[in-house]
Amino acid sequence: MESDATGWVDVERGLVSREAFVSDEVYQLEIERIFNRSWIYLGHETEIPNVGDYVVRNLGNAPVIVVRDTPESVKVLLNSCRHRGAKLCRADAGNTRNFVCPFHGWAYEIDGALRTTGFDHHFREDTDFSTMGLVPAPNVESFYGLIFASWDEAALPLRDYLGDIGWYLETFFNRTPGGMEVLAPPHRWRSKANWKIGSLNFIGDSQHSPTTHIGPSTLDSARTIRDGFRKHGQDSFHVVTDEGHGCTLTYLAPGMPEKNYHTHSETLKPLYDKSLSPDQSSMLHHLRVCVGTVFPNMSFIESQVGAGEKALIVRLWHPVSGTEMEVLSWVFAEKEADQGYKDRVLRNGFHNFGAAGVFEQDDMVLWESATAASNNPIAQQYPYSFQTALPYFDTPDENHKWQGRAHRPADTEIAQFWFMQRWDALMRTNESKSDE
Amino acid sequence: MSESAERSPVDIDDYVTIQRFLYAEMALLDRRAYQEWFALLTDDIHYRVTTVSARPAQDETSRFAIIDEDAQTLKMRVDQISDPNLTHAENPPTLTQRLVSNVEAYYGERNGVFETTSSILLYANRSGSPKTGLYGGERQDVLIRNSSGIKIAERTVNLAQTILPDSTLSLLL
Repeated sequence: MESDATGWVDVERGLVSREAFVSDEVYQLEIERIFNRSWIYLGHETEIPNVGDYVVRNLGNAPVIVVRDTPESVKVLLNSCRHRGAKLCRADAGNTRNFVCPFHGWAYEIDGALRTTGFDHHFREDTDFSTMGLVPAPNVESFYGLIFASWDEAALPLRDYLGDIGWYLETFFNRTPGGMEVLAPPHRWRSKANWKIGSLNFIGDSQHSPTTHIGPSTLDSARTIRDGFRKHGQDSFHVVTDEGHGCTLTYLAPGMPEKNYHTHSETLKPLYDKSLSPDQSSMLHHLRVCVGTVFPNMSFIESQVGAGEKALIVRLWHPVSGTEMEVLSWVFAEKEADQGYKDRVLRNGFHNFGAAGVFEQDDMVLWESATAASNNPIAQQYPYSFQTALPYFDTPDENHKWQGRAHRPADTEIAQFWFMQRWDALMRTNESKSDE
Repeated sequence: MSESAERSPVDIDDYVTIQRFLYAEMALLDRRAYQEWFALLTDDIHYRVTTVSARPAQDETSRFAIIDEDAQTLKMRVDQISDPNLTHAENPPTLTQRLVSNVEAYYGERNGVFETTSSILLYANRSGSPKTGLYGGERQDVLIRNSSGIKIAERTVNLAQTILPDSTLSLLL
């Protein structure tokens, strides 16, 4: 592996070592320096509405239980018994009044406190059972229902970590008084591709759309998607924010009839104005697609690309190794929307972007081919190119009114190279922010 | 679909007709004759594929759709994988063998309507790759027979799967 001091990103030449996209050693270092220090998205509060509801996820590469322990709070607990390590929960989701280990019977409250080992009388009298609860993530916070956690005790407050990307997330997830809700359990699939390809794809990879997605963009002629992409060059831009986050916004071109696309439900628009600032409202107005990534591995897209309603989707690129990830994908709609609208959003959302999505199926085979073809020493002599970021990287849009730093044009690799530079900086930082 | 106890099984002639139809239909998909397959669907086809969110055994099974199409959206899916210029997932094509068995068939409430269940196992080997995906599950179909033959009006494929093992599902079942 290359030395920490050198890193994997060549800022001057716009290049990134292929090793970063295949190596299991890099993956191990990512777990230590990125996934065990950053805020990681785990799920949405509407997945666990009632006390005792839980879902099973991963925080870094550690299995965790995300449980609603009181009506107002959520705990994230290591899904491994303090006694001999068995998983407390082996299903994906459920509801429970307590966690009982199926191995030897240690029992825990739903907030993780140890209730009994079943053999307490055989322990020494000075045993402090209060220190033997399930290991909690020290930091758990919710941002308009989006649950994040961090293993790092010294992590920044979540709002500070999100920074300016929070303004955009707020526009999507807090645009009605009731907020957004998850419409179905997440689609899940395994892909033999490095997780960062997903994060990069969503932060701003406009260049892949015409080739990777020639299928849906050719077949969707009724929605003039092809003309849309061409005309939208000047109406599309990247936004990058501190901590490596970013998104790409694409608007209806001037003179393009709004009826060519569904924008947002007429019945919901008055509710948006109640919750959003004027700037946020104008951000949503005429927005055709917003696709973005919260560093490191949560992405989101709101898009109307096929026949049907606009769907808001959250995506998690969970790393399994240097060459494999597990993908989770949720579809959201406004709580206030009627059931028919929610059903259409859900269907349209996963028709395009689900585990069998017409966009996803072509993405996945190409990402897998990139990972497979790069996983050898010959290929690794030739770094990946992000060179179309370079001519524009130091000239942000001075007229950008909203949060973050905007860059044009959007058919460049600015946001992706922004992500890789943040990734590289963290990977080269040896000391943790906490006192270790 | 009504409870099987209330339904009457089809007679042996109809059973053989249905079984032949289900085999021939799967052969079309294995031969990648996707448009011919699509012609076997009614105009108001409802085509669904579901997977499972794992729950404790005492809870009800939590099934949710990963594909839920009407004729229009299913046609887009079929057109995409039919045209070598419009698909990467199926170019080169996945090598497949679909096994259909355990066929049960009942008369529906209306004349000429059959309700069937069958087991499906899709063996899917990506060309040039050692990776083989196996997708198994139960199908519930509503078939309609008229003078021109049998057509599929509804199909639900309940996969015995929580996580899709081999990337995304671009194939039909």
